[in-house]
Amino acid sequence: MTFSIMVVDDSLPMRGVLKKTLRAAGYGASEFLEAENGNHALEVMGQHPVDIVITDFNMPRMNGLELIRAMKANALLRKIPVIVVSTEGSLEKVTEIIDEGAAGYVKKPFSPEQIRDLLIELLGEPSDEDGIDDSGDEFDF
Amino acid sequence: MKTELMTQVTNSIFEVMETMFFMTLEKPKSPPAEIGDAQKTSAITFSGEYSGTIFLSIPEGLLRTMTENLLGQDIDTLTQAHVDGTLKEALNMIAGSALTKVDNTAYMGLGIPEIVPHPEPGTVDDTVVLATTEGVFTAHVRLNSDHSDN
Repeated sequence: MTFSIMVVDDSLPMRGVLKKTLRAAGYGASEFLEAENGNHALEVMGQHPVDIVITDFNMPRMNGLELIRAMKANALLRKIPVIVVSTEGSLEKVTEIIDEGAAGYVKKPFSPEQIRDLLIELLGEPSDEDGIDDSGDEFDF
Repeated sequence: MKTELMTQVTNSIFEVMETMFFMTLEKPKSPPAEIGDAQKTSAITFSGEYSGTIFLSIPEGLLRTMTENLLGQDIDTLTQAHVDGTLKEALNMIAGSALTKVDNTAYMGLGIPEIVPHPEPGTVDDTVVLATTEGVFTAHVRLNSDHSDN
């Protein structure tokens, strides 16, 4: 089974790093959708089915927490799991992120294994088809 | 506060450079007389119990190598937006990590990192100089108002 994975981050290289990490984790055959902020992500999800969202917290226009709230208020989006990948590390903020409905939280800087373990927990093991990776990435899982 | 924050900024630089950019750092035994090569600087503001700005200044050549390492792609396939974004994201991770290390029970709001001119000498409260095999770079902390004492 392949997946449609939405990566939301205002940082162009961080979106690239997350996609590289996802490919190295075995999800290389998945479809990757990108958005620069929460507003943009909602627009894309309105036009395209998504299996999981991986989002930054601190973004202009609509941050990760506001994105989660908007998704939970939308009957079509509320069941999509959201992983927050962020520099936000205070206990108060992490608790708020989880309480608002995030399925997982990963603090930057992160290891590829942290992302992989959460994806397996939420999506299941990638299939052999997913594991096809011609990107040349060199993470040793 | 200044000393503690600078200590944690330094610790976070080591952590981020090793984890995300696969680079080993060292502190030069003596600060270089001048830091050659054109530098590019990013700044990020923070606010909460105390507030200020953290700067990260990195030579262009080292920054290109960091971008290649981060994305696993040759620099020829990347754009200036990737390079500038790498500097901003590195600072974002360093600042978030450092502020959490200082006090993970206090909420500190982080701004959006931006590319800025290099801070003028005398306008920052503390500076750390670090080196990789590819170049020397600096980080600076500026605290607002009455938080700049030790």
